[in-house]
Amino acid sequence: MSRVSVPCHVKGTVALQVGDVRTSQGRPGVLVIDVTFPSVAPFEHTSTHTPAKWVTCLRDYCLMPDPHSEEGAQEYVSLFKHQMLCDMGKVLELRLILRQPSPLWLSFTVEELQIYQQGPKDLGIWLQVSPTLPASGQYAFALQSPSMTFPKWLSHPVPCEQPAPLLEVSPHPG
Amino acid sequence: MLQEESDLALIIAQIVQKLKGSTLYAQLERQAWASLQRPEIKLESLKEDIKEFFKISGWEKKLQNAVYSELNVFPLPSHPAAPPEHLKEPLVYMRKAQGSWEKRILKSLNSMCTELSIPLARKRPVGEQKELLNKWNEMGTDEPDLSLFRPVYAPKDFLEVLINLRNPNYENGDSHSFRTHLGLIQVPLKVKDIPELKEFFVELGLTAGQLGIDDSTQVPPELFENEHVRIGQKVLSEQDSAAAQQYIRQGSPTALRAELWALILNTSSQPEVLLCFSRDTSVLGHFAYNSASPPKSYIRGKLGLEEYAVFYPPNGVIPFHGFSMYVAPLCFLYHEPSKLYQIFREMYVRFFFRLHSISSHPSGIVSLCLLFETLLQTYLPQLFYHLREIGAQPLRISFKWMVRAFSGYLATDQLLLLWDRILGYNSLEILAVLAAAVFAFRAVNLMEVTSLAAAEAVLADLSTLKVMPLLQIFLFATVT
Repeated sequence: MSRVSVPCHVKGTVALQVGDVRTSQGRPGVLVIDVTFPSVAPFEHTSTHTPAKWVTCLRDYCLMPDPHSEEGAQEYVSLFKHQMLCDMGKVLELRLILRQPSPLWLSFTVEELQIYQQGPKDLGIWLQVSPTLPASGQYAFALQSPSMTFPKWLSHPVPCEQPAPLLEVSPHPG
Repeated sequence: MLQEESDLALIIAQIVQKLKGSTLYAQLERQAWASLQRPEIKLESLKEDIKEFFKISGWEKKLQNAVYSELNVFPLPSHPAAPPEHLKEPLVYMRKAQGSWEKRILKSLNSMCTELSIPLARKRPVGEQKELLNKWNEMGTDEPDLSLFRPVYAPKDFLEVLINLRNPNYENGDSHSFRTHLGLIQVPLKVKDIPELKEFFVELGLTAGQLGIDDSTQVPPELFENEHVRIGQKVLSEQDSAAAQQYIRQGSPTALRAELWALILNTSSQPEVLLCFSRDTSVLGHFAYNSASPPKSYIRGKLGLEEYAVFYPPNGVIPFHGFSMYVAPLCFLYHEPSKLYQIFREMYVRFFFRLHSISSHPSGIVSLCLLFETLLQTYLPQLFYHLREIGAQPLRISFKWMVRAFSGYLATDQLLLLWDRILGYNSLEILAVLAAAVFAFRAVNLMEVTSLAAAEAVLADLSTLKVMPLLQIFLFATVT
């Protein structure tokens, strides 16, 4: 069964931090990355549709066994449909919440995020998240999925938009 | 689980792919064809009968050994999105550091050649070829004039590179805080602590018999040694690689060592291995040049002499001053040149290459250095602090031991007992543990020194040390 990549747009990372980012001395330990899907029709608020809601599909997934050391820091990771806690059939948006508790790293994120779909009928999703600069130990995915059915995801096999693989390690602004 | 099944399938596919190109595959095919003549092989149950034949004749065991060898040596299949360099080394900054180091070495080598007007490789003139063929078996006595050559680099040059390794995404502030490491290595690799080491090296514990301890003259051989030798002989007769690797964790009897190492390293007894005498391209293939003389010139009494550290670059790294020390101990075990070469090549491509290339691997030299420093700092903090204060960072002394896998520093029988465990545990971490154990052993004297030179003097002579008691005490008998 072949997999097809789903076009996705990765929005810039947003750091969650208490207080003013500029003046506070500590670095943020939580980042949020939103991923939208251009091939999905925009959601319309009408009275006939139930509102979309966020659903956690993966909780506390550990990427680095030890947050203070290099183990797993630049690994490629795949996440699969069967690991998800909920049905991935009707996804509007994906939110990655990254947590990196160690203060030793200047920045952390995930890169080369790619989303695939297995076959036209099976609307499963899996994520390819790589490489992760010393990224968080944990992920919590939240999904927004309305109850209306979607047209097939795979209309044309467009290679998914990827951020340029960052081989140079450089600090990202929070 | 879906993921594990597909991982296993991938590993199997990879191993099958690798073995298909091997001599063993050709042999198995030949054997299978030949077996059709045998009366017990019936057409109706061909597959099962041939399998049974392989089992009885020992060919299945050979295949098992080959698979086990592949699993030990080669990294697991990587993620489909990972580029090939990621498999060699996942961390970008380490790859870059290794790249720059290699450039530096090559530059140094090339400038030396230019200075001395010597080409790195040239076709041997016909007269010389004839001469070489005539004295093929006495090569060791022929001494080329190497006096003008100087070593391309020394271990301490390499240590300087490792000391300057930094992850640009790491907090590398100048001020000392909980973030900076007190030792020389400043990269945050994961290393085992003593509880993890105790678990990893469980067979070295106080309740298990050890060669190197329980075979000393005061201990009656009935208690351990006799039985251990008997088990060793059984393992050899079964020709089981995996069993041999497990067995050798408690040390190898001297009489069985050569065969046990060959079994663990899964070297073949095939004559095509004599390719080493025609420049073994399986190892040297990716080089710009070939070695000037075959490794045979180490034998016949020229062991360990620095001027015979020939330019012999397996795996892309030019040998440093003292490189011949990897081969020297093997000469005690193997007298036949082709066997000696095979064993050396296997030891090199499995273990020794990690000692002089920059990587994040747990058995790589960077991890070993960090493991050594962390062990010392954690379990001998007073000693560590004292040595730092007097300008004698412990790693500056122990680095040369680890980079040579202690060859040339320990007595040969002790070194072989140590290398038994490298094979048994498929890891070089024991080198770092031993280095820390040596410091622990000489701690009292070291606390009294007041300079780096004096510290070096205390640790200059390791030839009387017994490695197994030292390791056992450090890991299992020290109050932590």
